[in-house]
Amino acid sequence: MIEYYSEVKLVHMLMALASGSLLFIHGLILMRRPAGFVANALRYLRYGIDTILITAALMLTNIVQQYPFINSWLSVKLVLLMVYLGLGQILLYSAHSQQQRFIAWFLALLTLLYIFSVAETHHGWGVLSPVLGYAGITQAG
Amino acid sequence: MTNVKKLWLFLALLLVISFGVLIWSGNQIYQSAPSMPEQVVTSSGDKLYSRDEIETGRQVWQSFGGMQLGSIWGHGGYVAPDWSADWMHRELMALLDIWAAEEYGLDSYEQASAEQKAALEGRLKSLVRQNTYNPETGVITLSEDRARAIEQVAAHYQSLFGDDAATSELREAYAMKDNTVATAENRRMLTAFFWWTSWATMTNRIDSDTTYTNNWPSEPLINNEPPPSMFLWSVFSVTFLLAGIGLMGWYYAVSHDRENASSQLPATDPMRALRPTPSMLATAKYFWVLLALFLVQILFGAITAHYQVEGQVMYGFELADMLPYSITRTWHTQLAVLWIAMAWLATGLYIGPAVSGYEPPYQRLGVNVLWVCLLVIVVGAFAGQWLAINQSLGLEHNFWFGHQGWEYADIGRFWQWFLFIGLLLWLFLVGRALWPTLRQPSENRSIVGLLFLSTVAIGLFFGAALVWNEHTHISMIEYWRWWLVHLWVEGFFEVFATAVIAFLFTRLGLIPVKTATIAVLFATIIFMSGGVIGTLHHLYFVGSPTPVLALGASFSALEVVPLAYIGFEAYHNYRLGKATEWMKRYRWPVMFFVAVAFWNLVGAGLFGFLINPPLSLYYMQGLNLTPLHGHTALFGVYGMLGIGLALFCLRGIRPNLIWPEGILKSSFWCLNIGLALMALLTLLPLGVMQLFASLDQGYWYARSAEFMQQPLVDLLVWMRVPGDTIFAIGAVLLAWFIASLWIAPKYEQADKQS
Repeated sequence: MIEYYSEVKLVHMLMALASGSLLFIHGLILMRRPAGFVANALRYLRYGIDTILITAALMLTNIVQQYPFINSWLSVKLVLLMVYLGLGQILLYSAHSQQQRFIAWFLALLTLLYIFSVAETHHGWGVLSPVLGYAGITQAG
Repeated sequence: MTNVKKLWLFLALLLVISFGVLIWSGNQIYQSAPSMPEQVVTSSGDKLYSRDEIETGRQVWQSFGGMQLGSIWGHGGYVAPDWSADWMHRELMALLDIWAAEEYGLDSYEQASAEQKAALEGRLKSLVRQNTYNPETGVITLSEDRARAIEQVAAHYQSLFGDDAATSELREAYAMKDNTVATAENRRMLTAFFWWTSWATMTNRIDSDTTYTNNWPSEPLINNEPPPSMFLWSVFSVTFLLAGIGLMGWYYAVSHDRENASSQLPATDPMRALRPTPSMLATAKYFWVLLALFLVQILFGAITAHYQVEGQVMYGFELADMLPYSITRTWHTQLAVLWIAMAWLATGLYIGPAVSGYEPPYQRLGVNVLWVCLLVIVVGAFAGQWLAINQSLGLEHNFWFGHQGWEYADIGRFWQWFLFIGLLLWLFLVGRALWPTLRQPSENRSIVGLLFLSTVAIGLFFGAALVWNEHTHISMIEYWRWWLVHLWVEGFFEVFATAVIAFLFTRLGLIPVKTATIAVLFATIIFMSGGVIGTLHHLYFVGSPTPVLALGASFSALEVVPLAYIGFEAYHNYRLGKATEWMKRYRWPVMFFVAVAFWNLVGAGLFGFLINPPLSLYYMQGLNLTPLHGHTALFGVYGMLGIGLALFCLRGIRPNLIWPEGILKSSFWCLNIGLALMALLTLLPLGVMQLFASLDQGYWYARSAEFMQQPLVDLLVWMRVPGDTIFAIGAVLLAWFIASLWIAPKYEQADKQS
């Protein structure tokens, strides 16, 4: 599978970007008109993109032989992914007011940005690594 | 004589003739099964193997999971190779290498010129295809060169099934754990069995120019290619199919207008008047357990699929030490049958008193006892299999309490007897509840009788699994095993499915009883006319003679005929789902019935017929096109039906609830889309890739590590993740839905007030 490493990584990154962008747009639409056709279409599109994103992530773990619960930065990513998906569900189904939707949306975006930083630094503290004295670490066991 | 009586008579006659032919075919297979030698010796008289070693070798093979790890004669798992084809190719290559060295002083056969290769291959063909079995002495005599080749292959297998570092990469590719066979002596015995199965695939029958397995598998080195009879009966099978479709088309054209819906549809749901009896309410726990089994089955399916890319590891965890591929696959396939059967059992127990309105004494106790028995069987049988695969049980206990190694019939014999007794108890419980209806002459009696007969058949035909013993010839075990698997799945399950759906619609007052009775009897005749003798299509390459192949090809093609018209049934069901306002209560059970029809066409009909004619199966058996049919037909048809029936019964068990239909809707679509993606993104393309390899270079290559470890194959296996994930979400949503009926029930307004 190492032969497909760069392609799988590209797909993973593109899907992550698409997931974040769609979440941003979806949140804005949901806060204006929760039950519209566009909001529904976006919901299914996001499901599809997130499924491809997770597939590519699992393939990458196999290619680079680093895994959640063994490599800490991947454990952090997995936990945050759960949080991200949970917030997405709240945004779609559980939030009943504008304010609740906004909070779920904002927190989901924040979580996603933090996941990006963990992916970039290969460290559980992500963007906070330099602040906490972990600058320069690109891979953690 | 009424139409209904005529149909009953015709059905009885058909069953007598069909089972007569099936039993005659069994006798044919028995007569012409590959010879089992007393001794295998070299031309100088040295002993290679004895009958006892071959039979013990089979027990060893069974003890580590048998068909669940690789396959024999194409039947079994798909990640490890087909051992008979793999052994054959290795032995042939070893022999060619020996001769290349002796004749031309070369290091290997590959170095030989084209002329030299042609000469060696000619010699090879005449040597290995010649049958040297002496029926009078029971001895097979082999040349000294061949004995050396066999020793080389045996050494390879002894290394592979142990923990030798030289074969560790291959073990990973085959998803085998280290020390799959614990002792060196057992590993040696295993090679005796593998050699014998391979010998049957390359040795001509006495006085014939085809091998015991009808020249299966394809192997260009010795001209193992489909015999003419296979072309002939493949063409005829397609012709029979077209003829059957034509006849059915004519029948539908002249009869479909007569099948009217009830002119007087009930104003309210007739099932709402039904007050569930204590035993009916007691069936609820069956549905909880079936859901748990379904979820666990998916989990083991995911692990099994993952082992295809990381043979012994699961995302960094050395899972194979505890749960190797052979056990996860065993439990995955076994659980599929168990949870679907659990749905059948529960539906039967629920429907019995619902039909007759009679609650026999101690019926609830019986329902509860049966439930406990089923749990004990699942836990006990699975524990035995785990101990067997870990080689902790010993060969002497394996057959009774461990792993029999026969796919779909692999629980220990003790547990099979226990299950059979459980099924008899089930029949007794359903029968005594239905008895008042069966005894009284009424319009209902025929359809209830048919429903009951299909449950009797499901119960009794499990008895086929008890026919073989520890040392029965493998050809005969295959014959009886397919009695169980095929006659259940493509016979009585189909009848049960048709009868139960039609019956439920009659209870809802949507179709007249007489119309339903005639339709179900007719459908049963159609299913059984192909289904019974069609069993033989699984037996083309297990030592069957040509007449058996011809019968299997012809009649199994007829099995597809009713599926070609299943769209009528799907639309009919869909329309009934919208027949009245109150039918909205049954929208999702009916949608699952519509899905049954869809997957019957696609999974059973299209993907089933793809691998059905002898010529197709010759190249496709045991490739990923087989699980393509297996997944889409077994889950698509019977899994969906099991869920539909469970929902129907739950409507009655928890009658006054508002269902959270959004969850059910998402579950329905996730299960269907997930299954379709699983089939289209992985199983179909991978199966087609293997087919090209099988046609081009021989069957062994399509199943080899060399082929299966290609990056593109890995990529296709990973493509299962999206479909499997969506499918798993569907199952979790279904579990959530059913749990919510008890955990967070929402009552209808009137009931809340009361």
